Amino acid sequence: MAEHVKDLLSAYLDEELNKNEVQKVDQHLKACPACRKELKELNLLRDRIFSAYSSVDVPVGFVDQVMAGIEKPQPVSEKFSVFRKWAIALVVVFILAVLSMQLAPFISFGAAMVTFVFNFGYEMLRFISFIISKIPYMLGLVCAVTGSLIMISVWSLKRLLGMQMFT
Amino acid sequence: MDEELFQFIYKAKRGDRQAFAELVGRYKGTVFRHAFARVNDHMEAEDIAQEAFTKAFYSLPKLDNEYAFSSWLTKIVSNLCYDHLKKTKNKKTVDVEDYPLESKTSMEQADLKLSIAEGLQKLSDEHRESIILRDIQGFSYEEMAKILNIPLGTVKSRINIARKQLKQELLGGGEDG
Repeated sequence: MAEHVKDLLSAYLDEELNKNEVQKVDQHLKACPACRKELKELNLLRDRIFSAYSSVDVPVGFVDQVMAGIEKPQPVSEKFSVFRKWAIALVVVFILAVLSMQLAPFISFGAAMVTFVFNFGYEMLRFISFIISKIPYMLGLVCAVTGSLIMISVWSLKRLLGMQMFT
Repeated sequence: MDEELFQFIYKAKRGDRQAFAELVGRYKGTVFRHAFARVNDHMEAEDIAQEAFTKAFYSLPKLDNEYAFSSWLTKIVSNLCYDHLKKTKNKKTVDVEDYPLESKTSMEQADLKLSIAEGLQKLSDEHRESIILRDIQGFSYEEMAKILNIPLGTVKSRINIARKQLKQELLGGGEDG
């Protein structure tokens, strides 16, 4: 006798086998009482499971309870639909537009002030460069004074440090 | 799927509460029995079933295909049961008092139901779920593969193993019974 087909019997019962498998099981069942018994038991078991639960009643008033639960307001996180998000975004844009219109004079005043400071600084730079170019040797003089000051500072610092070492 | 059901799903998807109430009426048995077979507690099954429908109502606009409603709803219940079992893991034991006595139509059926329910609770959650989806809900293997997000071959072997184990438990041949 060919090997038993017990592992195929569940799917055979559910009509979930392919043509070749069905043929194989059919042929085997003809010759095997053990597998026929197994199939019969599986069939009985399946019927018993179904009948055991088909008689379980749904609680009375179930539909009304579900619908009453749905009528209740949902938590904020669930209420946020895409539509609401868009509506909020539109309101924010509107408020910003109104605010910018109301604040326009202040914004233009600020811009004018910034422009004035920038222009003033630019003119001052131009004026300084003009003075330097008009006085001969002015740049050289400034450099010489600066250099002298640095040298005097370094000498003073060295002297001070030297005195501290001997005290 | 009949045209009327399609219309209910179509309308409910667009926020029609009356149409959704019709859907609850049609699917309440399927959803409740799924939860009950899975968690083995009448009250908890009721809570899960309610939560599943509430979740379904708010998620319905996201459902792409009206024809997939049944498996989509089953997926919601299945996930809620999974979460519930995860939370109450090791807390529950099989409790005979959990079974609704009013639904017993005969002594024979009552006895039978008890043994099937007890046997189901001895299976692992994934095997129990396979039995529920196939033998209580009547889904095909292909539909089950989509609901559970597992290959078809795995569905086949899970059902095979689940039935074998359940048969063994019912016949008193379980490892611990």
